[in-house]
Amino acid sequence: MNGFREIKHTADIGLEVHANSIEKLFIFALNGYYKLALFDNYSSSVASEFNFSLIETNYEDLLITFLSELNYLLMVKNQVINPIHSIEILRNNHKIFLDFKGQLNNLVNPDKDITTEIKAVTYHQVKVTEDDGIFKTKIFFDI
Amino acid sequence: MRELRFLDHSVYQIHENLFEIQQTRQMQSPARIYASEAMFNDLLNEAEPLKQVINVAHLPGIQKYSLAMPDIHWGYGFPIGGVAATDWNDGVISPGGVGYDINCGVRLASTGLQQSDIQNKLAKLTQELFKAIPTGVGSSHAIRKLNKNELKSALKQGVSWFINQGYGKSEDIEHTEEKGFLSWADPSIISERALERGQNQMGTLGSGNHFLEIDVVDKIYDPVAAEVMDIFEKQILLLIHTGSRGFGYQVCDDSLRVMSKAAQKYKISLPDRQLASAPIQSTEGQNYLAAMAAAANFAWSNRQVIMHLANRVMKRVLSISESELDFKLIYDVSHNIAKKENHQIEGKQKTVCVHRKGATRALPPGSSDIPRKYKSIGQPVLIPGDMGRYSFVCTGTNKALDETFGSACHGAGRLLSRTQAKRAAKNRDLFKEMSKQGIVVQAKGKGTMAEEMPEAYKDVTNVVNIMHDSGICNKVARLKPLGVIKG
Repeated sequence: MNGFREIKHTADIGLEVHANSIEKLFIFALNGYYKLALFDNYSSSVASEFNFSLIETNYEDLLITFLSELNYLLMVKNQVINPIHSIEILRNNHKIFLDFKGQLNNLVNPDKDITTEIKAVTYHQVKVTEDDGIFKTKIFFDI
Repeated sequence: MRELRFLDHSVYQIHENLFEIQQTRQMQSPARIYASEAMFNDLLNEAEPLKQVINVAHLPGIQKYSLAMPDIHWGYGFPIGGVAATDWNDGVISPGGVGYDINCGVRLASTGLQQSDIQNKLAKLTQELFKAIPTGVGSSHAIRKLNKNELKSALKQGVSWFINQGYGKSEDIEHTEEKGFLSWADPSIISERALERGQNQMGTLGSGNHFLEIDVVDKIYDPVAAEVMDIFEKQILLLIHTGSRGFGYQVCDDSLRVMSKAAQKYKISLPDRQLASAPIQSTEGQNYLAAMAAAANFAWSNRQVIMHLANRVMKRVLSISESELDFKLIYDVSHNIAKKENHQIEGKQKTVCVHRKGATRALPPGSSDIPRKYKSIGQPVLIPGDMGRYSFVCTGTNKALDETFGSACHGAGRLLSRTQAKRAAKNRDLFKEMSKQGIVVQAKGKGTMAEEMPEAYKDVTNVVNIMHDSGICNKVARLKPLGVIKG
């Protein structure tokens, strides 16, 4: 099962994400985040290529740092990644490396197209698990 | 005492509106929740908020109880409505006990006007306030963009920096909690990203549950305290609810990364990573306090600038002079903050760090930390409700000082999730519904209106009555919204 769904939180919002690889889990988490924050038919103009790399010691920190970077881009710079060109996640000894490439776009009407101000990606109950090749996680966003 | 169960914990009903969860295993203290029986039954079913009150009781150095006010609802790390005091020397500080919107709070200003003075111009006034005070996602440029050096000076000096720039009157300082600045703020440790986010957001409301309301005084409960505060029936007041905007979110985000590693370094084991903490006396703890103080100073300044912008709009739209408007700050109080305070614990004065996450300070008469004008009545406690019902002005009590480290509830508390609220609002014209109640609303989007509609919240009257009946705060006045601006 691949994808994401919105889950209940009284004051804020959350996502439950499933994927058959860790890379897809990150992509679905990002798609879910955009679904929560952005109007479906947003308009944008191409800005530049976007590459970034991260190093963390566990998947949870990697996922939160990854989404926080993209939240900063959207909420502060009004920029969105679309399409994603590639994402690579490698585990080496006690470290996990992420390499991400995509196309950076400027929102034309951020006032209209950003539908929800997401203050932050939280650490609340965050856990990435793998069972029989299926990766799962829950992420809560403070809004 | 009636005994209940929650998970594997014994729960006792101490009195009509107070429940205690007994300390077990890794908990460092019991937990106490102020709630009516009906509210507590709902909390038992919902489970998450009570689990969070229990989680907070695991913080090293916690004193007396992990506490929750009757507006308790599910938060991150701490529940919203949570209060915890930790030993200043041996305890920890947790950004989860303050939240992302550092020093989110409420400011109440009085006018010399009555409802009849503005009724004909209410729609125009609400509309012009909406134009002058940026609202909504990423709202910015209420005033000119500050350069980084100016912002750093403002972060250090708080409200007084903006008063010196002409945004308000010097007497506003005295009526702001902590005189509008925490002296231990250190702008030099603030990240470039946080500074960048703060440069153009001063004087903006933001989105979510933040608002500016034109209220009318609907009922007076305590005429003596109301007179001291210059509040009278049918009077027009202005209520502002906002915080430190993107600047505070970034400070919290930056700090949580550091705290997450610090918790491992100091071997602090906690049931939720969002409670990540460091010893108060550690470098990480002191740096968080200094960064949080800068964000707190930003928030008090933000509300100061908004009040000044509102003052200008009111005079222009109503075509009246400064003296006719007679705009005065009643009080400005935070409900998301951690501060060094002295409290009586087991018969001795002790220095603690009081975390208030969705809880309002509520100091009694005679306290040294409240304005001279309010010494005889206690600190004004401002408790906003939803946009369709009421807000309350109360005062702090000695019982609050004894039982809750001088804290009370901060609002109504959410009842419906945002998704549930949107579902309930489907096919309804909420603007029209509010208008039928005589309330003019200006909001950026229908989404906010749906998420923030009155049914999405508990009835603030019930919440405030629990605090009043428990002796934690005294009701002074009830306010009714007439004009509301939302993000």
